[in-house]
Amino acid sequence: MLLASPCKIFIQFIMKKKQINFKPFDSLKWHEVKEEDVEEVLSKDQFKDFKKNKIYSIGTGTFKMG
Amino acid sequence: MACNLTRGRAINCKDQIGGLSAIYVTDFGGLGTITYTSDAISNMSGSFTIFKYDLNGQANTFTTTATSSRENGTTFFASTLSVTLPKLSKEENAELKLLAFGRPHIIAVDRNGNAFLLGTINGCSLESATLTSGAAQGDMSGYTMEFQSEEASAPDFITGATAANPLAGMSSATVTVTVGTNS
Repeated sequence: MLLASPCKIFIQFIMKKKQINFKPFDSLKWHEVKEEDVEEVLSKDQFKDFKKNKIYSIGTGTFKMG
Repeated sequence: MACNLTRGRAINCKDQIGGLSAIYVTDFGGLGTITYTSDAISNMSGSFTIFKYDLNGQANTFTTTATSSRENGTTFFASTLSVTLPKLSKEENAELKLLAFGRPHIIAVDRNGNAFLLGTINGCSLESATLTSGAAQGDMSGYTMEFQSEEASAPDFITGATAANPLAGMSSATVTVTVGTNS
């Protein structure tokens, strides 16, 4: 029980860190999206840059991680 | 030497048209770090909103004049952007005041789809603006504005501009494009 709690916090931390949001270029609102969807939209190189920089903009809007 | 020439120029195809189709105005200082690739702006790192002004007619231009002084060893590029916005409104009056108070960066998009950044380092200053009612029924009732900027280089081309978003190619920038509304 004592170990479970820090584990849970760690998992939540990892999951939270991986959360990806998308903001359309003509809006101020961010929407949560799945990583698979981002992979579909971005090319391999773009996705690699996104993973590295945690942010990537394309014509339709901006992806942000974390 | 930093000023050695690098290329020649042929006679180009006659495939261009004149005039501006839109300008995008954003507050000074929000563009973040600007990256250049092949003499054009290829990336920005800021998080900012750009406000679109649709343009129509033949009175919308920007002109850049290079001034070099042999005596002083200086060169600077002064740009003048002139826009005409028909129809007066209280909202535009209020915005005009804000444009005059600040020194925004302005992106001018020409009718060939090229996007240029004016006032990259120092911003653009609204040097004169007129609100006119016109006299005859066919005269314009609206605004004319003239912005000026002085920079160390000519307005830079922006890579990857699209019709909807002139900063679509800026992969590290978080840009929000706010378009105007009809009335």
